[in-house]
Amino acid sequence: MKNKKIEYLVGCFVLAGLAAILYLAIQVGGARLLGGDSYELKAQFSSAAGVNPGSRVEIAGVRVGTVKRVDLDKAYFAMVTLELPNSLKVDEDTIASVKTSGLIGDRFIELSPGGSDFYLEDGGMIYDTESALDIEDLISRFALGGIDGKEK
Amino acid sequence: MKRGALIFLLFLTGGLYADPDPVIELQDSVAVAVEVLFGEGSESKSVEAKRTAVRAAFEANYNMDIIIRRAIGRNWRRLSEDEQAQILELIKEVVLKAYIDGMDGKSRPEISYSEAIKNGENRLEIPSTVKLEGRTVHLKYKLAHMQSGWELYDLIAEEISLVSNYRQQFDEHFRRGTAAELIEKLLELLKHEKLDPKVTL
Repeated sequence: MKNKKIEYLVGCFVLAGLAAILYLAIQVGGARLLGGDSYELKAQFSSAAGVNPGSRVEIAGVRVGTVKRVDLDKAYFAMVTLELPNSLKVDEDTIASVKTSGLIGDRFIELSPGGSDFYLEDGGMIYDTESALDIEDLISRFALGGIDGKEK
Repeated sequence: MKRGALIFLLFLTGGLYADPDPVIELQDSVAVAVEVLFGEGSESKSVEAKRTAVRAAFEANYNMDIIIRRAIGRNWRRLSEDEQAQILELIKEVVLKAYIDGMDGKSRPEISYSEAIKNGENRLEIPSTVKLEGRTVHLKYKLAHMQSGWELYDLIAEEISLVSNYRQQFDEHFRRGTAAELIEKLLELLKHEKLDPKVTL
């Protein structure tokens, strides 16, 4: 009887230990448990080159979230899924732009908050997006001019 | 505000539109604005009359407050109701003044439209090409279906968003300045007899 009680206590202790390890792994990995405290928004870009899962999402240079996924949608645009904390409310007229840290730094998503007072909910879409400035495209336009040959 | 004023200038030159068929409405609104500036008898019209007519052409189908409010962005909440109303009105006047002054003496622009692109149920993008004084500019009108019908909420010229461009400038202003200072700047701009279309805040 006494042995059974000890075995029961050891079993509970092992289970508690496993639960603690699982919780630690989830927290360190930045994942969510039972819904968690974050939500997702989507943003469609004509080009999301350089943006990857794990890339930063910033407002005014402050990191507020991460890029969860980058997929190609049916219309062949880049569909970027952002993960943001529940405490951060994002207006429907927020602009999402792909930016670069410095000249050759990492790409990240910068959010420019709007003022519509209509907030996006989990799974909502940011329609106003700007892809990163394509330097090569700009140089070629400058060097070659427009297709009508008058913009040189 | 430099590029923003230029984009708006090209926007009215290039088009506008709303409910039954948003594409046709946009094209009609633009055509009316162009006719006011370059149509028969336009030379004899005063600048004030042109400004009033262009504004009426736009406001017949669209609410200018939407695009301006989007440009002001997060700073909108910092303004009192009086300041909001005053700033909306002043920005409309400044942009229209820059547009009319900028088009003065120029030849009639050639505008062509491409097929509209649907973006979800309530969003539409209408690409257009404007040839003005030997230059070709690609202009995209962004419309959203709101309670009031189809409303223009952004203009993209050569991949540069009017709302984003202005928003950056307003953010920069409000980082250091106040609403009263902005109103003062806008009033100062309106005092100039001739406004540079590349006007900055």
